[in-house]
Amino acid sequence: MHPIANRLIQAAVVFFGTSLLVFLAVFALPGDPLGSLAGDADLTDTVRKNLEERYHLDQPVLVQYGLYVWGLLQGDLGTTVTGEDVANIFANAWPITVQLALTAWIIELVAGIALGATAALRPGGIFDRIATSVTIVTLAVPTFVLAFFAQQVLGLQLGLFPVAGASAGWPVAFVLPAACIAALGIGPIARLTRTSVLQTINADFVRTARSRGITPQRLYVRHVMRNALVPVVTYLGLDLGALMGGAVLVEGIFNLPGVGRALFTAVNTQQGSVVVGIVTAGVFVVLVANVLVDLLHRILDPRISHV
Amino acid sequence: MSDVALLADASPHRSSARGGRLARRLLHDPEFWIGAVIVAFFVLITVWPSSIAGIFGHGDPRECDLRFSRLGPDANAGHPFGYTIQGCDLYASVVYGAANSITVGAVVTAGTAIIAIALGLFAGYFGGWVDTVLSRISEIMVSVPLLLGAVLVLNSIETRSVWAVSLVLIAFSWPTAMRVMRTSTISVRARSFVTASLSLGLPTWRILVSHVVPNTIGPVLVLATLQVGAVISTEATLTYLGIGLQAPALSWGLQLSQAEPYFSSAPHLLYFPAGALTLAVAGFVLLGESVRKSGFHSSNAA
Amino acid sequence: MSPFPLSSGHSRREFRRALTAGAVVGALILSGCAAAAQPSVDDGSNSDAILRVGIQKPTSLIPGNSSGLFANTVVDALFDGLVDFDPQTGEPRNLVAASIESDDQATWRIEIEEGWTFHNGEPVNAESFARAWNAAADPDNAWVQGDQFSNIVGYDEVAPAEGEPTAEVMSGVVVDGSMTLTVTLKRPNSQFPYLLGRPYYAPIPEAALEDLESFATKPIGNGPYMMTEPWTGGDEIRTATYPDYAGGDVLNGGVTFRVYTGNDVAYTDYQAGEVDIATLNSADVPEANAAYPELVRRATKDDWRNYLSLPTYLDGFDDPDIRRALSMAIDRQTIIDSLLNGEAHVATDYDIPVSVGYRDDACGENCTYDPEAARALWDAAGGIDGALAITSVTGTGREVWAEAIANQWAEAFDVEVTVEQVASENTWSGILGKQVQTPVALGAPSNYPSPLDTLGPSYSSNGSVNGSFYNNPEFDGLLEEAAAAPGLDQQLELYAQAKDLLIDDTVSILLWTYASTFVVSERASSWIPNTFNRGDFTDVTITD
Repeated sequence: MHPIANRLIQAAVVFFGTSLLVFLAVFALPGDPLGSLAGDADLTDTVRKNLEERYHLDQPVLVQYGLYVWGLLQGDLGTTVTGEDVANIFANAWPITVQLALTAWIIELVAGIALGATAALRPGGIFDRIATSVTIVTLAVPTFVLAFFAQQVLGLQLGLFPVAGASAGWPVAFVLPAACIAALGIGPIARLTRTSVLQTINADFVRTARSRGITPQRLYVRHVMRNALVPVVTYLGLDLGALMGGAVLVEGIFNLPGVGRALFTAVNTQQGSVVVGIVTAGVFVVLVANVLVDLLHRILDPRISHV
Repeated sequence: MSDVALLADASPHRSSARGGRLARRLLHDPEFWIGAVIVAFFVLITVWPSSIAGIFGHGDPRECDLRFSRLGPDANAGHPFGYTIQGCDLYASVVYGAANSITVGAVVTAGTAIIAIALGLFAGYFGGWVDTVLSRISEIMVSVPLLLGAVLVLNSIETRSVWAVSLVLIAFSWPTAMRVMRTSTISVRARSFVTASLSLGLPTWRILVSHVVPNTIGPVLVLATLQVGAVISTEATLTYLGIGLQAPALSWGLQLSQAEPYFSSAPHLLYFPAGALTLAVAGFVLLGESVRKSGFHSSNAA
Repeated sequence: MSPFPLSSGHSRREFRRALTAGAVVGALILSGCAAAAQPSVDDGSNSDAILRVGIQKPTSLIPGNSSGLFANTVVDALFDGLVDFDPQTGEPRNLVAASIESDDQATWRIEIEEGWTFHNGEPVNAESFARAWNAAADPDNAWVQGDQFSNIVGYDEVAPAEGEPTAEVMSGVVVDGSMTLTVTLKRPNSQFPYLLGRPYYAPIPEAALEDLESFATKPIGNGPYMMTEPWTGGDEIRTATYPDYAGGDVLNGGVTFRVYTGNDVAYTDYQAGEVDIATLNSADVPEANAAYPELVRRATKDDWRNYLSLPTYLDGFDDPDIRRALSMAIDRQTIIDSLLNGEAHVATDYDIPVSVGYRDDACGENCTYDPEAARALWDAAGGIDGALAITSVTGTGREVWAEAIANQWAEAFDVEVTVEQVASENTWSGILGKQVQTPVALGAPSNYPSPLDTLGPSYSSNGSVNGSFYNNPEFDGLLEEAAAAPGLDQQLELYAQAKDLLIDDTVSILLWTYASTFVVSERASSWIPNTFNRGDFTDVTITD
């Protein structure tokens, strides 16, 4: 079979496996998906029975899953028990999270590569040591602690950024929360960049290029950086999951109405269709990103064999 | 959460170092010593908290008086960190809070390593359908972001102990290390000493235990040392989100989440647990880093 | 992040309406407070400016399907019911109704005032109300407030507990002529006018039933504010002033409800100047007092209560002496002073201070801290085997004082006490479904100022939030008697007897009561809290 077709089939298997897994996990949650509806009261039996019929809650879980997938194949993402269209929730939430994740990506990429590439210029030098310390600090401070301090100090006390909500628009409303998510990625990217820059500098083709008299700047940018970026790109693909995890936290703290917040609410309120939808969509994004990373790899480093 | 990146850097193609040189390199690395001292300190207060907790005052995190709620640090009264919301000694609470964090860190790291080594070994050595099934499962697990998965599962557990939280973290963390193990097993299996053992008719389990495992676990162990810090941080995060440990457990995550609303009026509630958490994570990260730099993994795998 | 009520200043709207319509009732009282709120002509206020109010996600914007304070707040702004409540006395006053009369507390004759229209131009008439109530009772719609109409004659035919419905509409709701409505109740209820002020009794237009889906996202009401765009769960619900509003002048250009995940987040955003009215969690009150002394607003009387529901179906908890011991082992005043900024009051009765007939000294030694006596009672009754737990509701901040109570119990009875959490959305299904088998730290606001508001749902045997599973025919009988009694004094006497039963049985553990606390921005500082008309923001002038 063609390797790309093979890979796509594998991705499809993983995709449906994950959605079933999530569906079962959601179904296993104790509590009552209808419980949230009545607020400070309880539902009457008649209302409950009607709602259960309407949302197929009276069916076995596998039937529910089947109905869900059937709807999905027809482009219907389902509705929540409050009658909200899941597609609508997605339409509202995804743009926020995509902006957040892209901003975080840009921040960690720029900061990480700058830090790593500079550190690699003189290994063991003062800047290298500073870069190492920064790396360790960013890994050691938990995201929620960082987010909270950033919000209180930079947002509230210094008034540099909005402290909650997305209404100020991109980039102002997103810089602070994105930076908090990105902090965790800066360290690894800096270190990856540093290591691979050092490795590439010593590689044969760079030595050859150097002996041919190519200017150091040109050499660094054209040859060294290009090759050194391969593991960084891999990392960025794999890091998507962590970005989404960070989004759950940071969207809550900064009140950004994105996917992470929607997911957390949906888990608490047992909105199975929303949870399954969001997590499988997240998985879908991760899978697509990994395929893209593969492709980018081939462009950046032709030596990678096409397996 | 960052172990994937660390792994990418720990792949077995770096300059090799042999046993003695490895140890010497470690011992000459200040990062190793700083990390080791910090880790040793936290392990000590995990095992024997009363040794440290009682230095300043009564040292009992459960001896509380509501009237002292949230009062600031007062070293003369024997409360150098001040009082908690419930009027207990914050210093003793932070000291006793270490146990849960360190235990989760250790249990998850050990559990992840064991599962990853076993499954990675099977998948890599036997190949075929075993590999296909295990790899697909690992792919499914790895595509569910850790925090999302943990939210899903932990939310459904009524009483969440250290063990429950650990199990959930293990369930979502093993795939990364398992894939590393699988890759190195595949490369080792083709090597001459394995094929030689096979032709001698040695039983499979002996080949695995005495030839394959010793030559493949290096990267996984490096990954494990790097993982401890991330696990501790994740536990605090889950607890902060309200789906980790529950009161009256003594836990940094719990202390932080309770302190948050009082940040402006009683900032000491936030500073001290946050400091302890950051220091502990930093200690493990430093230790893991120095082990990684020493080239430990390549000395075995290469 | 507890769901505190949002309330608003009120009076001018009623005042204007009363004058223009020539209504007499209440006009004298009203003119007093309305005069005080009369704005000067050039106070720099901007009648087009939008007020930004912090809430949490509403369950639904359809009156009959909405529950909880946030949904009620929004619904209250979009819809006007037959009555609203006097902000001073809490008495119901006619709003869309011209008159509400009954001789026997069972048959109610309601005249509707001319001139009200829905935001789409449809007139508001008797049919609008009948339509709304029948739609809410219709089990096919499965609206969560359906059973609120169960005391109306004919409800059982529309929504039978068993079997198929035999009627489309409730026979007890009769439209006599376009502006007259006659409602017949199964059991007499003197508090019916109070109920008419609840959001689910609001009218809905014909257009609502023609397209329920779009009505759900963009309800068409008859209130002072109309939706300017559909709301599908985003972080803002935008409204503008309805130009043809019949309830009087609206002094601002609209209200935008900003949806937050919790009061703490809303307060952070308030500090950044992004929201005008935010409800405070008690943890944020000291800082707000210090930072914004002029801008903190409190309800004038305690309108919330905190209490512990008890799993009285369990061994140990079924013994009133054990329950009394648990109650007497709680040092309420110290908790109030240390954890609640001293801004709560030890509870002394089984309803809420804003209710008519709340007593300051009823609970007596049951609610008084006495650990030795508690221990003696506990030992004499045999105690409870094993560990105790208190369940708190996530995001409410109650776990802080729940932990304090846990410590006090642990000390008094020498047992282990833990604090557990239940997701806020699962609280009631968990308690009533007996999945949560511990005392639960609960809070309840006052919805209308009658003891029935608390006693009916919380303690009657068929109450919707009877989390302690109290089942006492004598108590139920007293409530029915009170509802049928003609005069207020007689009613209060019967309610007092009913509450005494609760005290004797220590049905749930009373803790304390408090006034909801808010912060308001400079630009909207004319706003004052109004406990019973939460969604009324018409009087707020905004200076920009």
